Amino acid sequence: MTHSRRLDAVFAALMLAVAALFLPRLFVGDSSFFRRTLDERAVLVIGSLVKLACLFVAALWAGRIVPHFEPGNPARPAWRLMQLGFGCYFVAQLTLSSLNLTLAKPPFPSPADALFLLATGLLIASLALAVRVYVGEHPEGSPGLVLAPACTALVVLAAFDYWLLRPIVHAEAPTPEIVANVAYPVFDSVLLVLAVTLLRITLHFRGGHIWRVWLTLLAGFVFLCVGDIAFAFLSTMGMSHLDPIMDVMFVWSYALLARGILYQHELFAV
Amino acid sequence: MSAAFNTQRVIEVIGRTIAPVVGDTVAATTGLMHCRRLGINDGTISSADLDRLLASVERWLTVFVGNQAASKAVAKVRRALLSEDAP
Repeated sequence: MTHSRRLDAVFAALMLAVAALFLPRLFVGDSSFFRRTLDERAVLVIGSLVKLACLFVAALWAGRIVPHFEPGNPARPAWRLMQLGFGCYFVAQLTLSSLNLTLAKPPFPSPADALFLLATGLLIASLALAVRVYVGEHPEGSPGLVLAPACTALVVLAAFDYWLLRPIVHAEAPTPEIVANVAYPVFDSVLLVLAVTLLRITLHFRGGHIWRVWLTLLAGFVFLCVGDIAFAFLSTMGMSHLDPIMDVMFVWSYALLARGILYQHELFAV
Repeated sequence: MSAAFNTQRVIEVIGRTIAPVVGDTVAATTGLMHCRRLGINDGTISSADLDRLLASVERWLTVFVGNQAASKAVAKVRRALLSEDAP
């Protein structure tokens, strides 16, 4: 088994283990096992550690990718922004985990939310740059290549956001909470539009290593966006019993993002 | 390196070498695309044009795989062409 295959197995096992550990809480959360052994605090600690480990790997290895793109290489700033984005996500997750573990009722929004939004902004900038660079270098490089998927995703997500944000905007909640709950889906929608666009571009690379890198990264971004959007909606609606689903989505997202970054790094050893 | 190479052969070697990285679809069109960009239309390609072609492919690859990996891939193409050209 190659090093890459072993890493695939480790990440797959991690993702399955987290799902197997967290999701049964939805159905048998009242059982003695979940009240005594795997209580909410234990789930919080395990979830936080896994998320932090994945984000740490993603940020560190994204940083190791940057020097492989020499100054003047148009892709270098995209990888630098991705490194900063994952680094910011790591600090945001660390802040959130600390608040959740030390305070009985952590504030929302908190400094962690500001950091999460900043991190998403950095990733948006990174993907936007990647789209620009890849379109310019694509064998069929033309604006038409990306306009159709980008416009389709934009229209679908705008309609979805309109449907999603109406109850959030009209919810009886403090203004900062509403602002944060609106900002997450809006930022994530922009990220998703860029992810769909990149997917269209990299479709031509299917079967190659580059395709594997971007497919894995984009799957991570999709889980991240779905998790964020679900969080904004469910927290506004007071449906906190569905939190395990979001925890699993975030862990899967961070694991896929870390694996995607490692795939890119493996390219340099070829 | 000899003075001329078969253009079709060069395109094939480029495609075969970079296919694991960029996939079969893009690999199959890359050599031809760069030949067209550089105005290389003949059945044979001179040593100087081969250098231009490989430099162009390398520049293109750097965006996806970084500078070193692109250099390595192009060096692999050159080695493959030289070994095929050897008597």
